[in-house]
Amino acid sequence: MATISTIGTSARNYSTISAWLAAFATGGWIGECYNDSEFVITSAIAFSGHSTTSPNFITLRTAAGQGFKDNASVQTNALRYNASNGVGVRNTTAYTNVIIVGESFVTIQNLQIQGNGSYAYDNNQSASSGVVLDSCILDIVLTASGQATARLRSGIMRNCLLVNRGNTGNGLDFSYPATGTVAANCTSVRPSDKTAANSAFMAASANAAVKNCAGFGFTNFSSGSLTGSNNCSDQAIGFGTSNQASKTYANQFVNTLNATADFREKSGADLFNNGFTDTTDVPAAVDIVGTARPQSASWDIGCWELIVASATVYSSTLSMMGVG
Amino acid sequence: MCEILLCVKDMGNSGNLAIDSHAPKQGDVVDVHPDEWSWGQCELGVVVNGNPNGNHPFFRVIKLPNVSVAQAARMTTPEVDIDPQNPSPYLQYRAFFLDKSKINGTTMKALLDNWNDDGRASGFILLNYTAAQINNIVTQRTPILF
Repeated sequence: MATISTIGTSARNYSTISAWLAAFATGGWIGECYNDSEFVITSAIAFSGHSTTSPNFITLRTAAGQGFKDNASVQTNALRYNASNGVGVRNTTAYTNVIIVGESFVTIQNLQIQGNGSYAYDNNQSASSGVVLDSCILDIVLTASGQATARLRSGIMRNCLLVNRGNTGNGLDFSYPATGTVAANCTSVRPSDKTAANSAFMAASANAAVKNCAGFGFTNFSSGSLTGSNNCSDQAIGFGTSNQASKTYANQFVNTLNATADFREKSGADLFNNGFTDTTDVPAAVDIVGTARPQSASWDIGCWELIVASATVYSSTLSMMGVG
Repeated sequence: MCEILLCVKDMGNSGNLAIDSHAPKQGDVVDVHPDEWSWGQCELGVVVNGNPNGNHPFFRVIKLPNVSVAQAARMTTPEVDIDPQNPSPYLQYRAFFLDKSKINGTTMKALLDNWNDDGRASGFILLNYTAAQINNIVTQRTPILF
């Protein structure tokens, strides 16, 4: 039976994620983070050194009510890193990764992760299996073109927002990935007041797929060999079908400026209704904050599913007026 | 000025060096925090129902009022590759560790006694050692050959 432990600084089981990881025990090791305070770290949190298997998995997630997606104002909160909205993990040491996953069967859900100059999330093993990053906000300031907000060499990244707030660097880096590596319904952006450069998604070799993803604020949607479909960008998209290419950045999100960023989808966006039903990669059929997909005829592209105003009130009013 | 979470056991026990090399070992510092840190129950050795680690005999909480966070922080630095062009598959959890074999049984007896106390009678220990005293028992991990 899996062991569920609480993590936080208010008389929880463990005060840090590192301590919880160091105490790993077999049988399923689940850590639930509480937003007692921001998790401020100075060196990377490394998922490695454990004998993980399918039954001996590791899951790091937020406790009920503690994540940004649980916030009472989640539908109106700006979608960006903000530890006051829910659990946040921030590395204050520049050029150091925030979370490194170097082993199999690791799932991370609902966290906000912020760093400076290196990967916010580094899944660095192409030989790993069962690695999932689900419904997280990754926020990074990059200063070199070879850097990226996150690296994904195996497994899946779904419903994640990747924000590169530097003037260079990439979004998601599939560096020599394992076959079947997938980014599904992710949004990879650089704020519009930063200098556009590099790629929203990049791969050093084939094997990875990008599906229902949005990439804005870069000079390329992708580089290298990728497959997939139903993607959206302000740039050309060089692979797949049913894409929304060369769309206006400002039309997609509530606010694209660095200081006031809000990457919720806005009404009228080209992201709207242009995704495909992908319950293979997103089996729960929800978005980054748990909104059911679809809210209209089809899934939206990117991490956010826009809730459209219902016509119910209007028709009820007409009924009361004896119309229809 | 700082409080540390020390690992006093070798945690990697799979027999696979590619896995075990990354696990905390005896003497590795897991965390460093400023004074009055709000430690978790498990870190302090409290037995939590349902947690298979019991009183966490592999952890010790040590309060060091004469050692700053900055002075202790290097203890949490992971081992890094000597030659990035030839990366090691066996990089260790920490580059430096508190070396039990260097602890003076007379002048640092309290640390040695606490280290050996798997019963964890007290949740933490406060030691008035200087940074120099702590530094004297720090050893750099020897890279694992590959």
